[in-house]
Amino acid sequence: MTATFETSIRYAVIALLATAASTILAYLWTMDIVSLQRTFGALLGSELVIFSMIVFVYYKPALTISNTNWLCLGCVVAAIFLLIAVLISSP
Amino acid sequence: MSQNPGRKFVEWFKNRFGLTTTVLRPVPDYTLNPLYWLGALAVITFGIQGVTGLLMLIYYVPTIDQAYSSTLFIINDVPLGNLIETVHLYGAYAMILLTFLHLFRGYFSSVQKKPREMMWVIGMAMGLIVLAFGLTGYLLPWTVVSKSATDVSIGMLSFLPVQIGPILTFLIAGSGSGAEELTRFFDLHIIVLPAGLLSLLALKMYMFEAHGASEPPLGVKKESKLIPWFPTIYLYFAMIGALFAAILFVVSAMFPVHLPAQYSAQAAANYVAQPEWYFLWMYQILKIQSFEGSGIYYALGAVTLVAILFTLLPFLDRGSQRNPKLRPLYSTLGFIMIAEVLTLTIWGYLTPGQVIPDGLAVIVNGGVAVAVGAISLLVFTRKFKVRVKLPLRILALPLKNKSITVLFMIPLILGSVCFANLMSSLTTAPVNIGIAAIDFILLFISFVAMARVMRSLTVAAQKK
Repeated sequence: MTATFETSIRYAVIALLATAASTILAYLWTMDIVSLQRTFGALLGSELVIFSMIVFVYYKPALTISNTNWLCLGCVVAAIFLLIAVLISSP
Repeated sequence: MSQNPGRKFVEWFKNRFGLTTTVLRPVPDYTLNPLYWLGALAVITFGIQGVTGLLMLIYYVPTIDQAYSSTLFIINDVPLGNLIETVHLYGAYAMILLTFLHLFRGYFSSVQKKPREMMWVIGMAMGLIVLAFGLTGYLLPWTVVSKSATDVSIGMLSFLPVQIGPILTFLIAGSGSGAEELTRFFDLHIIVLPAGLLSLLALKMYMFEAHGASEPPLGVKKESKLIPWFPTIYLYFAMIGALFAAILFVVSAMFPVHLPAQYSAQAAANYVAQPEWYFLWMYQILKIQSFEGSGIYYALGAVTLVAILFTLLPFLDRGSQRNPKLRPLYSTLGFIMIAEVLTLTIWGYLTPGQVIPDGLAVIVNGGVAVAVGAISLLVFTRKFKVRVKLPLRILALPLKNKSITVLFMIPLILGSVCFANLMSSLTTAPVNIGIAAIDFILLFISFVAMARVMRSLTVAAQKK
């Protein structure tokens, strides 16, 4: 199969999101989730948003402006949730 | 030609799990809209509530001595206990909010029309169960806040007619001791209500599969096509479900639950009882001056009547029009209802324990109704160009037909006296069945007489 530019972009976005998701998972594995349970909750939230975005890329593969906007919004939400996790974890 | 690895995995997944033979019928593409999935999100929340509830059940002890301490232990000492408890609390709020949104989405889209009348009725019953979940679960931590609010709710049962009130009170709260009340509420919360909700959910899903998704009120585009559940609908469901769960987890992480003080008679004496936000609108109605004391009958009766009318909506609204822009009356009533519930909720939150003077209640609630109604009618007539016919001419008819008006007043006064007498005789022990029957017959005769006079008035107006 010849990969078009559009599918390459799609795979790149999925790869980036999957990397972010696996990085969070790795952190969750090493962190003390019992004493930092609020941070765990916020990280779980951002993980779920990233999962939702990966599904979105698969479900709406076309690179239309609307789809791209929704994808960007999802990434911003995931980033905000990550920020919340960081803020909650700081003493 | 080698196949896309993602596609290959999907095919493998589909075959191994037998998803190709799914019993769920394909759904139209117009349902790929979050508004169509509010009920499904409520079901997801119910699942989250089930999981978090089961985890808490490991440590929770439903006795008045240990309910509070075991809840405190879950929050402070159990690993991830605070997060689980908070997710359970906000999950309950989300479930109630989603139920209300689902209800009003259905109302404005006229989903209750033929052949989905009974789906609407079952949905209303499910909504009541969701509220009952909130009521019963609220008591379980045995805090001064939850116990005081529950006592107010149980106290309201005593105002019901003697044939129903004591039996319901005994079934729900036992003979009156706190221990029995807690045990009953616990049993209702973890056994009776989940069983009821699951049974009704199964029935509703079966009916949904039989009737399919309701069409959009503005009509279906010609190119609308059916989409199989696997993989598209499952993916869509996973996507919005994950987003919803993410918001729930993050909100729970940001605002963790803090348990109020433990219940004791002394603590309760210094506390102004206030229900949770989803019952505040009703609480505010009960605080209106006229509804204090024995006036509570009228408030409870009016709320029950509205609930019954709302449940029977599919049988009252028989028209075929489903477009909310072409249904000014029902749309306006819906807007007024939402505005009133919001106003009463905010007002109730701001005035805990304060009795509301009648005049103020009339001005605020009447003002909201008139303002929302006027704005709505203005939007319908100006923006949507809908011709709204207000029967204003009928207001002048009594003055033009004075003899008929006097004739109308006689059965009206008789009917009012009989109705008041009937309510009084039914709610005061011992019940005098003979007098109640006479009152009922006279009330019925008054109704018939009033209807006849009204009919003659209308006929007279048409002739003119």
